[in-house]
Amino acid sequence: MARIRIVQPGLLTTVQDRGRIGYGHLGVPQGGALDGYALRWAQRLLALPASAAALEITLRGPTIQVQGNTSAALTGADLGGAVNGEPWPPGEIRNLQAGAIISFGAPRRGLRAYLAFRGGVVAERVLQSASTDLQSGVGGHAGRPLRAGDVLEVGDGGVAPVCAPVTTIRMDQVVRVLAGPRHELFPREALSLLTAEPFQVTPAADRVGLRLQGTRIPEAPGSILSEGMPIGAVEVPPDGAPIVLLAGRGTVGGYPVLATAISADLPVLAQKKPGDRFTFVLVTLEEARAALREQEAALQLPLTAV
Amino acid sequence: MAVAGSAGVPWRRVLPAGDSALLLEFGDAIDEGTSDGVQRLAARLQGKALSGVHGAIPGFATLLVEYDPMAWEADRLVSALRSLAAHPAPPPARRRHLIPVLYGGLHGEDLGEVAAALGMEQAEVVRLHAERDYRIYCLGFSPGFPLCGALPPELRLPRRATPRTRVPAGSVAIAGQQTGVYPLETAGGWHLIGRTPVPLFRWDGEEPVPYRPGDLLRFRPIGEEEFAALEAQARRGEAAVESVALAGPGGVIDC
Repeated sequence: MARIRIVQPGLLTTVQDRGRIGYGHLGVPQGGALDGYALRWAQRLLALPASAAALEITLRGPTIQVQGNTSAALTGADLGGAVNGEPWPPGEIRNLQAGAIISFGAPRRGLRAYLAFRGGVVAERVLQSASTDLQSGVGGHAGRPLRAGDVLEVGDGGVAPVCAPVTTIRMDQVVRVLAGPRHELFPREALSLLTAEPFQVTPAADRVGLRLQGTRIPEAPGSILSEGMPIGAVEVPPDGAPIVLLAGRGTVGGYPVLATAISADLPVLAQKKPGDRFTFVLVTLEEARAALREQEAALQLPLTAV
Repeated sequence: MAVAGSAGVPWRRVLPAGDSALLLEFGDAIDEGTSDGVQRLAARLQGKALSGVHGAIPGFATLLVEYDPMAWEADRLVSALRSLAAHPAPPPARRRHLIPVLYGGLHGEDLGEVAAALGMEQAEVVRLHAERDYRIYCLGFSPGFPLCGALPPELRLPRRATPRTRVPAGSVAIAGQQTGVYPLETAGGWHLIGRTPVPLFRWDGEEPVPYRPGDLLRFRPIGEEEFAALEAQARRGEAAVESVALAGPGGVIDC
């Protein structure tokens, strides 16, 4: 095994995988990598299984010292990554010698980058997942963000240098949604108001969801009984400021859901940071499925030899 | 668009919830018949009756069915759910769980305020809270939090104006017509009336909580001494909730 030592943790660096799937009825959030597209590219570049864990890096990245020889893939946001000071753009892999320093500089594009290592990152698996659940403080590395001095085990050895044939981040200015499930409870104009003007992400943005600022959405009269919340739900609290729920969301909630982001655009939402603007666009189920097939097809493209 | 349920299915409507979930609406009120329908289908889906369906999250009157959109088209999934519902399965086994609770004092710091707001003695609040079974309608809010009903009308209060940022694990609480227990330390806006020393949520097994939606909870008032003894047992990993099997839906409900 090789090891990585966290010299400086960055803003928020956690161990994540595809999430805790199938425990929603027990109130356990799925969690996991918020940008599943970028995580899967990182796994693909290193031929890792779909269950492999990686580091999710948020805006200001960590400094990491490599102990032993290993290789790594970087995908998602461009946060100014470098190895021993040499630029490391997302979508590429690097063979790393003992003592190599992985560092990050000024964020250039997007919010979340994924750093995967050969053999995956060894982490505490809880309910079949190594995802760090920050709300409950379990999984990943001691259930918390990485700190200076943490040492994690990773696989060792080099790999053939390849890179992704397309960009590993989705940075669209629109987020496609399907109406409902509770759009019928809202006044008729609610959906057109949701899709009329861009919304801005407020500082109240984390792995649970993004609180948005923009057009006030009229309240759904009455109240609903608590019910299961889909990931991507655009829920509307009484103050009319919509919240988009991400994979860290609580499984049940009591605010009515006006619209739900399509699966293919969850990676787009995962890259939105406070201050970013985007517009919701209403699509059909057929369009949502086509978008997902397109994304899956991109993930199957042959890798580019370097 | 919502698809109306046809005769023979236990749900009223199917509401698409994005491209990888369906919200099945069984009713619009908190009642046991509605919840029985939710739990029956939930149990079968959680038993992996349909591959490519990885989640079945009960609400009070709904079931959110999460599916792999590369494996299922929504229409085909609705047909598969109909076939599943058309072939009756034995109802899920239900249990009653006895939760020991030290009411009031440091462990239930809102009990005094609650009693004052309701215009009754603290002991009366405890008696009314502990004398009946509560049905667990769903788990959520935080891992393992049982959303239970219905609280007797005499005990109903709106939730606290300002939520606490930190509620201790094991806190027994009430709000509106609901009661529940905070299994883990989280934020919370309910009134804290007591605490159980028995840990409810364990991350280290495949059965993290002893109860399921559809089960019954009952609270058993305990004193300081028993609390301390159970707390010591809990530290040794020996304290567990007492659970007994019930005959089935509507089986042994004496509330």
